[in-house]
Amino acid sequence: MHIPDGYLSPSTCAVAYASAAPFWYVAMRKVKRRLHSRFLPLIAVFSAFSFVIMMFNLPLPGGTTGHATGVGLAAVVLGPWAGMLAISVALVIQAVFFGDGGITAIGANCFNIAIVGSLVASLVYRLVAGTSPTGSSRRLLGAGLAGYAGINAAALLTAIEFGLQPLLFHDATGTPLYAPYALGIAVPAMMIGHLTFAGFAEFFVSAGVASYLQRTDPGLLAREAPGAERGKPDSLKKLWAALAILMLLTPLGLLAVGTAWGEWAPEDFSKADTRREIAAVTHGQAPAAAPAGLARLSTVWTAPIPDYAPPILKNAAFGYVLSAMAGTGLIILVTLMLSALPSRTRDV
Amino acid sequence: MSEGLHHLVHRRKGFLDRTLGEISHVVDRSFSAELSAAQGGLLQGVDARVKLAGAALLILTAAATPSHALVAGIGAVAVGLALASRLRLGELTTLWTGVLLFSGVIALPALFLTPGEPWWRVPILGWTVTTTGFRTATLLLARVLTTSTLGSVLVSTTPWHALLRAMRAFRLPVVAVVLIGMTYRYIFLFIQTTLDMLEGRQSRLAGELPAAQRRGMAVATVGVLMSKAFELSGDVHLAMQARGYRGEVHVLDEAPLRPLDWLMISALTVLCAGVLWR
Repeated sequence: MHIPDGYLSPSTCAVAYASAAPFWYVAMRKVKRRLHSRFLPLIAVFSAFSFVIMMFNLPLPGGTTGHATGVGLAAVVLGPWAGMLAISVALVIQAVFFGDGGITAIGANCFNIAIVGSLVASLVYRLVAGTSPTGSSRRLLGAGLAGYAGINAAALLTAIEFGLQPLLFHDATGTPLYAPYALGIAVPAMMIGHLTFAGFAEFFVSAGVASYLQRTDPGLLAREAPGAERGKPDSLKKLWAALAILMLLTPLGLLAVGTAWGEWAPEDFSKADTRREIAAVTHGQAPAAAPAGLARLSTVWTAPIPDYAPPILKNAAFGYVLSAMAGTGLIILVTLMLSALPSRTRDV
Repeated sequence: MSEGLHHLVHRRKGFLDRTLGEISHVVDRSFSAELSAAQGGLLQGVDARVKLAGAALLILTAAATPSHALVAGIGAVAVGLALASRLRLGELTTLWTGVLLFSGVIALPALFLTPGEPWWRVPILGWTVTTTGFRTATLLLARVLTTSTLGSVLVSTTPWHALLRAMRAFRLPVVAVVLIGMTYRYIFLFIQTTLDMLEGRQSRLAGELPAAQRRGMAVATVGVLMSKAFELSGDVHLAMQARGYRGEVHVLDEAPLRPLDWLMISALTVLCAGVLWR
């Protein structure tokens, strides 16, 4: 997944550097404030560790082997900010000293793998592991899924960057100047390998090492699991507040005009104004009537609250907020039911 | 690569073999780069700041220009600089083979998938190579070959500590440069530790392990390495504090550039400006 030089245009590389810079700055400040004089040795040693484990070939089911980036492990043990610094340094050394990844693409590789990968991995780990004890199997699942999600988020971003190149950078004859494949090819080509082999490698390494640490060095897992001891993480209040704000903001969707692309209902194909919208975005190729399959399948299920507008309410904005609350409540209910399933706890 | 490492690599295939192969490749490249950086050649006598700036300029120019001929020209300059710096052609061909294999797999389908005028039909298969497909695939390969050669020439003619010092000249924060330098040192310590662990384990194996146990062995090795990493970071921190480190990083000032350095960077700047503003 390390992008070499020549695959991305210089302007894409510049945007990637500019996107990565604020994250590096914030991460540096946060981690230095927390670790002070321990900052340099900890990040340097963990970066070296990340570099070395990227060379490991992990045996995977099916007889093949795969590499891990350590992005999940870094998020589990160091947290997202220190993790993104450690992985970034490892990526810089790979590019500059060992030619693995391009020098112009360092910003893109760091943004995709170290920054987005670490943030996604950390978010997934916190969501799945919650406040479970450091010795629980739920933390193992959290670590594994963190690695899997982190590497796949990075791969998706890489594929999007590749896929945008032929759209944005081509000469007068249409010849792509950099990565030649459009999104329709780049995304599946990249994701098939990462959703399977590379993702599983990351899953096995993250969950496997977390399991090993549960037995041998549980203190390392406790570093980024503050809720495991006290039962409730401090950040949960912030999450609830953010969720409430997002729910209140849901009526903003009403400001948008027209129908979202590809979300047309069968009756939209017979309305004059919607037909004009469809024709405008399909180069004038709007079908004369709703496609037969669409018309048939659209009647299979009727939603109790269609278009986020409960029939009992006349105010559309209030209907959106109520729908958001109902949807969130359902998700929380399902999550609580899943959490209530018996979890196996290891003795540590 | 050491005799012991060769012995290990050839003794067993599978996870250990591949991992040891990767590790030996990294050690090999690093040793080879350090050796060639110590030789007396053209670029070995040039200041590391000039080489870093020059390589960055040439890489950016090769990435920015849409012309096959200009990318090839920059590639020829890179090869010329490599030969004038007494780098072995064998090393370059090994690098090119790896690059061609990796990027070739990516570029090959573009010959047929990129829309455009038919240019050539592959006999028997009947697949059509388009003119735009041919141009985009060859441009991609030329760029990747040129930029990887430039990167390799830079690393092979510059000791790593000089390269780190050069990064400071480009306003990279001191902390980042020190971080990269410390990480580079510890990489080799961890490589040695990993080799010791794998060799120790392998010397106790009488046959092939089942896949599940191989996976267990791999994650246990990574786990041990992680525990050692945290222990080591504590030890290093104490050692740094014992030497007066209190969280602030100070480094020595740089020496001024010499006439040869100015000549080299001026020539490269003119060349790149000429390519970009032709």
